[in-house]
Amino acid sequence: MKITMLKLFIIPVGLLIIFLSACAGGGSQKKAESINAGLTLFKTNCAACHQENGEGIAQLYPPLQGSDLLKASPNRIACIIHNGLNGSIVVNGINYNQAMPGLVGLTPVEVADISNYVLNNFNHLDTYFDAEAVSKQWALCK
Amino acid sequence: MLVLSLSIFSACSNHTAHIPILGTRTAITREIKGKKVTDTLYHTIPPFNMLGQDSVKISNATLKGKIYVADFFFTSCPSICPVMQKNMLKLYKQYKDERDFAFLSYSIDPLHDTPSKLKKYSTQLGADSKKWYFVTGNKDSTYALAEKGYYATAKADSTAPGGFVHSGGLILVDKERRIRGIYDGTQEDEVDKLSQDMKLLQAEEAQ
Repeated sequence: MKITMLKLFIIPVGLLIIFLSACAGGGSQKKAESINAGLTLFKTNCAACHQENGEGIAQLYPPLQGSDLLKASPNRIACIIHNGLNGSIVVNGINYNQAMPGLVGLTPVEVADISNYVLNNFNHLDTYFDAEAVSKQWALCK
Repeated sequence: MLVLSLSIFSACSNHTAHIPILGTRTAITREIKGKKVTDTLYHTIPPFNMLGQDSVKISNATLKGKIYVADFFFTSCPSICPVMQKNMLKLYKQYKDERDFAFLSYSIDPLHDTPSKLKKYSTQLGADSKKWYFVTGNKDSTYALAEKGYYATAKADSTAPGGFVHSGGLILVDKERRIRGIYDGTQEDEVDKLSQDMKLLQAEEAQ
């Protein structure tokens, strides 16, 4: 009698706890998946100039690793990836002036993935963008 | 056993590293004092006339007496050029203080790569214009020079990234303008081999 009551109580509660913890992990799992996808996209689209380790090349292409520009305005990244960047910029005290082409062919999801990879992996910023956030940022690009 | 090891040892000591001379060669036979003498004529880099990043003329005469490394690139290249130039930069930093060496980067996009554009690019890369020449010239003659002179591919191709297809080759040229090696500038181990061959070539030319 008692054992049955215990089973009736513990099993549903146990299942509820498992279910809830899976849900709670869902957010960070989405982010981890995005960053993982971002790594592959980064290698294909960005690493030629910014290098696989994000250190850039001399005073030609700026680093993405530990970038004070990205730390100061992480929301800029979606526009930069989409539209490119022209003109002089200063990153970590160094002046860069080579034109970056815009990667207009990348979808909001892809740009979100690259952004999450670059900001989390190279700059330790605990940010997370999804496709909707990227589309919103694109609407505000100058 | 002793005889065997001695012969192996003598074979080893006779071995000297020799960097091959690449390219087509022809044998020419001449008569000197009634005797027939056959010489080998090696492929050499043909004369060229370009404009450097300081807007001064750069030709084969500029490279006289130098061992140099050449490559073909363009400043807006999104694919292999950054890693090629990064690797050239590694070699440049290693050898820039030695009088025997020079570096030469030909642009295959002369329409956009003006001397001032090349000046900006090369300065940002960290290249001294007296040691590492960035040159631009007539498009057709540059492509012909690449293919026939340096055995490197370079041509316009609208389907390629950036609009040009070109090999990532770094070409080692000796003081006699002969090609002594072609290395994949995108591969670290080939660039390391090139660095070693530069030292060997320097020693060979010093003899």
